[in-house]
Amino acid sequence: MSAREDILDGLRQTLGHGDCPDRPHAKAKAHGKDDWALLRERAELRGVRYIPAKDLEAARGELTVLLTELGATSALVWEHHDLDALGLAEILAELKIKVIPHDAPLDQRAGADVGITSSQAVLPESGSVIVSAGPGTPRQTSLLPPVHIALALPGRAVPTITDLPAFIRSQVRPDGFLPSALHIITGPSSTADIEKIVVKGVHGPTVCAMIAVEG
Amino acid sequence: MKMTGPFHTRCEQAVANATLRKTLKNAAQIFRQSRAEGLGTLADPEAACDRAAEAKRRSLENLPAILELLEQNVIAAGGHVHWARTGAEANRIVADIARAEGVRSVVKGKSMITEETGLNQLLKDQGIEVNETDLGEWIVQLAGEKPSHIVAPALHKNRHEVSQLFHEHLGEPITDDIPTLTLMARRALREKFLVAEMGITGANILVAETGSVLLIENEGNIRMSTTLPRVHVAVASLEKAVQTLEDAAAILAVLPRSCTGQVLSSYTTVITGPRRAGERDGAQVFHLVLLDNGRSRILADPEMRSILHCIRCGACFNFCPAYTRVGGLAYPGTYSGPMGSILAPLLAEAQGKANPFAAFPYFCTTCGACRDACPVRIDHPRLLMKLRARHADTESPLPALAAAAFARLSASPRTWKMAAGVARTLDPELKLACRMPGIGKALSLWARKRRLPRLKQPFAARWADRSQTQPGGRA
Repeated sequence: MSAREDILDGLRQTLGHGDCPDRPHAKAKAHGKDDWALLRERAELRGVRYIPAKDLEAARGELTVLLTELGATSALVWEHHDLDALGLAEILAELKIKVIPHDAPLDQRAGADVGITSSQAVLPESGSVIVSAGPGTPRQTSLLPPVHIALALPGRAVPTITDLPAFIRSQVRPDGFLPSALHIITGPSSTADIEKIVVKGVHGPTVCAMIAVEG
Repeated sequence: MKMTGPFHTRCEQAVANATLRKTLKNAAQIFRQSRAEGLGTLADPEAACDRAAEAKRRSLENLPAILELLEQNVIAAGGHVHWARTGAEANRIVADIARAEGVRSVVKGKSMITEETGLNQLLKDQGIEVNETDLGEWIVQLAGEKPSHIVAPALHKNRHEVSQLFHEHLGEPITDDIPTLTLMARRALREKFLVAEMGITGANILVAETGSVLLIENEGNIRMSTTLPRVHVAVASLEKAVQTLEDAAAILAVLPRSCTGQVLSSYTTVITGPRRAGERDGAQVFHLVLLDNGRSRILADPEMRSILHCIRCGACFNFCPAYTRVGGLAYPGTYSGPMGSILAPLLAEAQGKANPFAAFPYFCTTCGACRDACPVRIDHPRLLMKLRARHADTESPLPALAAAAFARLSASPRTWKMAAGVARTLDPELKLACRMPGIGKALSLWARKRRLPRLKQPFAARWADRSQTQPGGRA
């Protein structure tokens, strides 16, 4: 008998077949009410640089200031309509920041100074941004560079962890499947593995900034 | 720090090490404080724990159907599913995947399950380079040790020991600056991530509804291991499976809070199959290995089933007065602490192996701190006492007749008082009893680390004297 049959038969002898009914999901909305104050409080608690902006125009200014301050010369960026609306390409061109293409050799991508993404959602309860993998939105952009800058737009709050299922289901692609990866990012990469002392920046970004268009 | 020999010998080695005691005490205090703060961010922590416990209970009860749904959805999403009865089978499956994919270098996320199966050794024997990438796990790999805590594997090491290790293995200069040590690890491991062909991870939760693997981490090494290498293999034990995203969310709401005190860890990742059409990165091949290794036998044991609720937050470790004095290296085998004291002997027994962990349950003081800290409502002391009772039934050092007599004596306060009265008159120092066949052996075992009671004066009288002379003592 195969391992599969062996294991399942053994379990069924104990438990019966078990029940796994295809329950209809509550028709919950993917996004709920914005709570910028809580998002800011919880994000800052985790070492995120929270930068509020009243509209996209202000966000553009904040991003320019931030990139100048960081002295970035190269970037990994999402190809995403949110960032088009922000005018990211123009900002980068103006600051002479080189965009490293997604198909560049890995060592070049890994050497980028900043990664710039939008976010499919924010999670105020934990101060997180949520990013979904897709054609123009690689997983590496928020992981490889030492700095991750995420744009947070109004109307995209998933208020609590309990509200996550409805949002995750909203990310199902036209082919019926979830993206290969969905990341809930809460502050910089960190560790406390030596003497429980927290150090920011282990394998992922050391600096996380959130430009929040609070509207 | 190497500890050898049976459990009690290792414990002696551990408590004799003042540096270790200090390191452990410090870590436990920080963990406990963080957990209190984390749970404090919930409006109703008790209700959240109830929901998580209920999600686990329901999932275990319906496990066969949930596992079939999970398998179906992982395959539909383009992944492969493998079933393994034993650790050896799981290791062979992973090794076969590595061979078929021409893998020479593997990066690993921290996973207790591959510690349990001993996967690294088999891969190394095949000539594959294996690098642990969680900082703590990498430190213990370099040191040739095992993790001493399920959340913080190198908990037992201080900065000086880590620096010495990096000096020896990486040629780095000696430093006592922890951020510098972390940077050394980032540099060394980044190179490994960029060339590895295969990433191996465990799984915190498996979601049957979507065929997803949920992974929780702070460092980003798991994201690296699942994003950069061409092949991702997740190894998970059966009981990680839940049916719905709601069940997963119920667990997620308490897991990081109870573990590190974070509302969420730095990265919570939901992986569903390999890279989809149009996506730019991520593993192109995804395998899920579902491992039993004795779990289905534990499920069939109603008294013990609830240990499979465990979500590996590690809270029970940080509250255990016994664990926090010796650390995980004192326990032989993979698992330590309160959850390990239950799981390790049960797994060994279910695997039909000699059980070198049978002494673990006797380490418990029955104080119940682990139970109070458990976010999925495992009653560790009750399970540990049951394990002791089972062990005593089969391997009592008392001869059957003496055991039956003792059981009868201790069953009623009146007979107990009478027997104690007789012993007080005839053998107040228990010298005679120590020479009696069978009973003598049991008494000397009991007295290995304790003084035998002197019966000259009844305990109640001695206690009354003591309370008078030492006011403020603990009631």
